[in-house]
Amino acid sequence: MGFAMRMNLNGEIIKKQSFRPMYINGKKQGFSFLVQLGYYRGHYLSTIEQLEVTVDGETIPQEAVTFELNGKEMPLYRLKFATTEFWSQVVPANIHVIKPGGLSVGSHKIQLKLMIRIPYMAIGPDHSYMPLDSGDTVEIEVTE
Amino acid sequence: MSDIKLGATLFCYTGEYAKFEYDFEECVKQAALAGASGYEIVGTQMIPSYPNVSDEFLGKVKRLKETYGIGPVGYGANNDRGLLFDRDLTDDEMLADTIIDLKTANKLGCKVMRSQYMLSAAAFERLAPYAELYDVKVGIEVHNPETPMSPEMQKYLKVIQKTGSKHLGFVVDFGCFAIAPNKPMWDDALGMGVKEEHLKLAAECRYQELPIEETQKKLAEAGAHPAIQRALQGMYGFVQFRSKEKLPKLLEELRQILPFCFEMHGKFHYLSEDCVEPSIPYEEILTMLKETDYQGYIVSEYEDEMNCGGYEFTRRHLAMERRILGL
Repeated sequence: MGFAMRMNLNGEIIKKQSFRPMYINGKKQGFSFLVQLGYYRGHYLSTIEQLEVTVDGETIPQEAVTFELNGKEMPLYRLKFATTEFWSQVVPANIHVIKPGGLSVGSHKIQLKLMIRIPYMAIGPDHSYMPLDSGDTVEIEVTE
Repeated sequence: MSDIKLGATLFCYTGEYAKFEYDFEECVKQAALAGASGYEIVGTQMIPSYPNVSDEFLGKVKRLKETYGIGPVGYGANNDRGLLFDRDLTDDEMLADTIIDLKTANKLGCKVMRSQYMLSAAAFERLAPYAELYDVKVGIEVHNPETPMSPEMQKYLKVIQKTGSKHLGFVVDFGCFAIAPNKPMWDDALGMGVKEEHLKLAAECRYQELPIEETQKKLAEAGAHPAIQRALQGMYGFVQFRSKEKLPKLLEELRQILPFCFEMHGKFHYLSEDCVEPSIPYEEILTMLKETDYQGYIVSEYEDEMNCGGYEFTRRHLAMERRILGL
């Protein structure tokens, strides 16, 4: 991958303390966590070029991940069409992941790949913009 | 005679804001305590219901003005030409988005709005009647690596002169007068193990205006640490600098567009304890500006490359401006 800007102003993109199990019909079948945009300003969701969640090296299928912002939960394929949904950098988004059985007890490595097109920073003609890497990787401990 | 007012953009507190140390109110309070008589707000950064402004937020802005004595004087708009995933926005679309920005600026009571050159000169021209309706003066930001009379900026100058509109003009960012390397990036490179002699070599090549590829070659030959790349990209990008001999010419360029300047961005990256910005020649810029007929704000704008927050530096910056301008 070529050069991408990083601007992790908060120091924490994935909020480590925010991990919660997701229950479906009373059973643990996934998890959710909060993500703060790593940039000085907010962006429209349509500028998200890639969003992918990996658990211990295993990539979660796109359809099993959703993006919740301002009370609206969206499948990932819709993000690129979301030209009026604005993601403020001080309003963390909630990422929901369906994973049958949930996260087992023990430590897990959660990786978020999040690439954004900085839409006012053209680096060439024909829709070529500075890429922003707002991804993050955390190790979490599941105790129950 | 000049009539210069000193303001600050709340963007100065980007670090504190992103870390949830300051909320919007604290940013306004700190700008007031630093000595600003008005503030600029970047819509995409601090307006909760961006791109629109809610009555609730307007109420807060009003209340804060009563409490701290300062209100918004400039609206920092962004021009997101790359909004769509598959193509650039057209001029029609860019114009329509900028009219939304005008509405927000107008509601906030800002008489000046900063726009970016992603808004083409052709779309800028079509903005004039709308800017007049809302009575908001829209200035295209002249930002390093552009200079006041660089070819790209002259396209806008032509439009301003052609329309004769009093509502189209410029906002000049003093970063375009930089005559020395950016200190935070320099120090950062040193911290990552880059040798000072290699940074000096890079700076020397930049002063001589060698193409970046040649400079990279020289640095490789000299065995420079790869971590020098970020500093080098800066030297050839948004924090590039020119030799001091070029400064009079650059200030002359500023003088040429000054009748169309609505606001200045007093950019700074660092301020020493004795209030000196190492890369931007404030003495020369402000001394010149003071002698002109410029009437408007200089809005202090800290770029928090050091990720240390803007609290202290913004105070120093306003103190420096007051000293030089004799305010």
